[in-house]
Amino acid sequence: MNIKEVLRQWAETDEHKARVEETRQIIAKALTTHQKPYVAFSGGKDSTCMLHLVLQQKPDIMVYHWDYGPYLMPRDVEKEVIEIAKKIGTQNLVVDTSRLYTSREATGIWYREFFGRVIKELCQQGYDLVFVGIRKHESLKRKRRVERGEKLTVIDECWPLQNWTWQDVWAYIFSNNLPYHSVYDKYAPIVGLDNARFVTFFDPEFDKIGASNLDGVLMWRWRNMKD
Amino acid sequence: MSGILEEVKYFANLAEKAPPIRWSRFRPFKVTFKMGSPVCVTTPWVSFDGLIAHLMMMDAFGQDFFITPKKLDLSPYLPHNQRLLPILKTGDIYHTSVSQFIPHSVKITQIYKRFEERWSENLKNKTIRLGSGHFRMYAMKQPYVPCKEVVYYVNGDMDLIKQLIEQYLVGLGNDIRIGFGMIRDVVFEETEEDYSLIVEGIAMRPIPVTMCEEYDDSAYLPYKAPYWSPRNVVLCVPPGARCKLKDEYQRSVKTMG
Repeated sequence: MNIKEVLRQWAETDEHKARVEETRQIIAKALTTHQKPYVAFSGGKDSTCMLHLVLQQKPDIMVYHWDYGPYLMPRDVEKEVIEIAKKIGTQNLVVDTSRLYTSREATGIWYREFFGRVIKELCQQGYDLVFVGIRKHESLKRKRRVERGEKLTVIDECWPLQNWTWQDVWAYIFSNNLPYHSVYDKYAPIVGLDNARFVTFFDPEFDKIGASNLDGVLMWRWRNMKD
Repeated sequence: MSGILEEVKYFANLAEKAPPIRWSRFRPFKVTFKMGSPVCVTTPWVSFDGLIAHLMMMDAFGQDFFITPKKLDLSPYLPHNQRLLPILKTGDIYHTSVSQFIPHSVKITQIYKRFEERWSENLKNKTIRLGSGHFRMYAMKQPYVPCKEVVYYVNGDMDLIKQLIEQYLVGLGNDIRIGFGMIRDVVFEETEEDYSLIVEGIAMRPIPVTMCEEYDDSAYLPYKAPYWSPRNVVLCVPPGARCKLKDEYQRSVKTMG
C-alpha cells in the first residue's frame, strides 16, 4: 500500500473527520462575526485545503495571493498556483507583487511591502479578517502564536487548520481529489511528504538551512537566471 | 581593491612559474570512480573538466591553492596558452561527460553548522550566542547520492589525467572533509568511440545552444570551469536532452574523436 492510499484511509478516521468538522465550525463562526473577510493563499498544501473549505461556505470570498517575482518563483510554478486556485473554485482572485523583485539578492521585500503597503490598502478596502493556513504542528513558534492568539497586523486572523497534522492535510487533499502543486511530487520522494514545503526557490533567506542545496539538485533549471 | 589586484598578481606569478605540462596522445576513455561513501551534491551532476581544472590549480599553486580567493574567478587573469586542460576541446567546450551515478537516487540528510573553538581566537566577547547572530548553529539540508560508481566519458590525455587524479584527488563532490565522496578506486579504460559529447543524439554535458543546429530543450547552465561563476552561464542544451551539433563542430568531433 502506498502512502497516498494510507492517507486516504486516514481521511476515514473519526479523528480526521472531527478535525475537518472543527475547521468548518471555525470558518462558519468567523464568517458570522466579521463583515469582510479574505483568504491568504500561497499555493501550498495547507492553504489549498483551507481555501477549499472556506469556498464551500463563501464562494465569492476574496483570495489574496502574493507573487514573489520571477527570481524567487519560476513563472511556470507561479502559473500553476493560479491554476490551482481557479480549479478549486476561486471567483475573486487578487494577485499582488512588488516592483522591487529585481534580483535574487532583493530580500525582505514581502515584509516591507506587506506591512508597509498591503495592509493599509486592505484596511482601506474594509477587510476585517484574514484566513491563514498555519498549523500548530508546523513549529513551536506557530504553536505559540496560535495559542496566544498573536496576530501580525491590525486585521483579525483566523487559523482554521490550527489543529491539523501533516497527515490531515494530505488526507484531505487525496480524499477530496484536490489539485496540489507539482513541486510536492518533486520534493516528497526525497524529503518525505511530511517535510515537503512549497516556498520560494534559491532564496538567500533560506541558504543558511541548506534549502538552495536541494533546490540546486531538483530545480537546477532555475539556478541560473539571465535578464 | 589593491588587495585583490595584489592577490591576482601573486597567483598569476605562481601560475607563470609552474612547470609546463606536456601532453601526450589524446584518446577517448572512460573513468570509473568506485565509491566508498555517498557523493554529496548541490547540482544534479559533477563536471569532470571542472574537477581536472581544480586539480591543475592544486598542481600549479601547491599549498597556496588553499588560500586562493573563494569568490573571485582567477581564470581571466592567469597566463593564457599555458597549462591548458589536457582534454579535447570543440568550440568552447571540453570533451567530458557529466557524472553518471550508478545507481542514481538522491537522498537527503542534515549536517550541522556548529561553532568551532578555533573561531574564538580573535573574539573580544567572552560569551558566544549560539541561538542567534553570526555564530548561530544551523541544521542544514544536504542532498547526497549513495552510489557505488561514478562514471565519466572523456577524450583527452589519459595518462596525465590519471596522474593528476592519483596525486591530488581526495574525494568527489561536496563536503569531503566530513566523509562524503570517499574514493576506493579509480579505473581508466580506453573506449573505441568518443562518448563524451553526444551519444546517439543525446547531450552528455551542457552544450551551448549556439553550437547546436537542433535541440529539444534548453536552460541557463554553466558550460566550463569554474562552474560556480555566473560569467560561464549561457543558454545550453542540458545533459540528457536531444541535440545536433552544427556542421562546423561535427567535423571536429569526427576528426578528433
